[in-house]
Amino acid sequence: MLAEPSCPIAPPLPRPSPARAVIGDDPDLADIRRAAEGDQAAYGRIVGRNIDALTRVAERMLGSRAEAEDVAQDVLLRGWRQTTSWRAGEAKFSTWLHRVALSRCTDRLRARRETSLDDSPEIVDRSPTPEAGLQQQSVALRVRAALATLAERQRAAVVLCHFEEMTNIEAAAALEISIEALESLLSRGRRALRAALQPDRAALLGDLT
Amino acid sequence: MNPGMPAETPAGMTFQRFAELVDAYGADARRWPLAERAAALALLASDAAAAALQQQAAMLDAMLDVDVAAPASHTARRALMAALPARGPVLATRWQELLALLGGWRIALPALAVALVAGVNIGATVGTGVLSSSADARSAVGTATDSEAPDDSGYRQGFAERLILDLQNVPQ
Repeated sequence: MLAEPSCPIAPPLPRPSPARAVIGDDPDLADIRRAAEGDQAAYGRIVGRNIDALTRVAERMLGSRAEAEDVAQDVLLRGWRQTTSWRAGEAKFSTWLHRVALSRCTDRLRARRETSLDDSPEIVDRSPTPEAGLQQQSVALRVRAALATLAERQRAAVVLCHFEEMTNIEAAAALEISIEALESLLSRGRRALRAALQPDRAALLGDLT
Repeated sequence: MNPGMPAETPAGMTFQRFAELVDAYGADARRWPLAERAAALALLASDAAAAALQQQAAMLDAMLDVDVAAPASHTARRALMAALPARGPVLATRWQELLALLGGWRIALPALAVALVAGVNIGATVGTGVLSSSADARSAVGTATDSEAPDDSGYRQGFAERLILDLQNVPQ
């Protein structure tokens, strides 16, 4: 049986993720100004706050860890150049980084479609965490495969809102769409995931016990 | 909809909207939009049908949450920092500081454009109006040539045109 979620209806407590902050409260702003003057240590702090999320997003979009690290590196190098012309108040730096990362992922997925008959994302390079059992790995791989079947924009919406726990406002900003459009993508994406995982549901639920 | 419940809670959350929220954001209230969270939780606490919807969504959430992506490797971090091109205080930064002193590009750019247009107009007026209206003035500054004299059609050369001709006529 599926274990009960630990606290699905928890009271609205703030999460530690910086993505939960409001747009006007950009944790990267002070370091952006220092980085614009050439302070690499300041940019290193920005990298530290964002590289994990960017890598995870790209990995779930592309299904490849190696490509995800390339995308994260490319995006953060562009971010370094962007600091000299960054204008505060229009968007959080992390939101802009995610927007660029999603754009890079779109480019790579398009290139795959154009160069390969097999456009299904690779499910490779996933190192199991030490605590993950074989059954959990099995479920995780099936979830990752189901995610790969989603339409690209639906996948991006689910990745940002569910896995990265972005607020709806930030996810919509990263995707450059309205809140209503975001909710539509999320609903269709989750329904498709449910349908994709349905045939294996009993096995998946068993795996999770 | 639970038949025992009103269509809308006092806080304004309808069952329909609650279903949309769960459908989009899943079972975890922390993922629901902040502005609607309290009202949705109030409905959830009093509506069995809402609770059933939330339980269904929780199953999908639990499966998705098994997929944990690893953080970026130390190698990737080091490679990135090593790849950052060094830069000192760049010229662009200095220009931005100057622009900031002038009130930002939104003010500085239109001001520059107005100054440019005004300068050209003044130049044209001086060239074609004041000076060209006086043959003495033209001869006084020594810039008159045959080609620049007003013709019968009333065409008068502008200041910039006259300046170019002047430069072309500078003795070598």
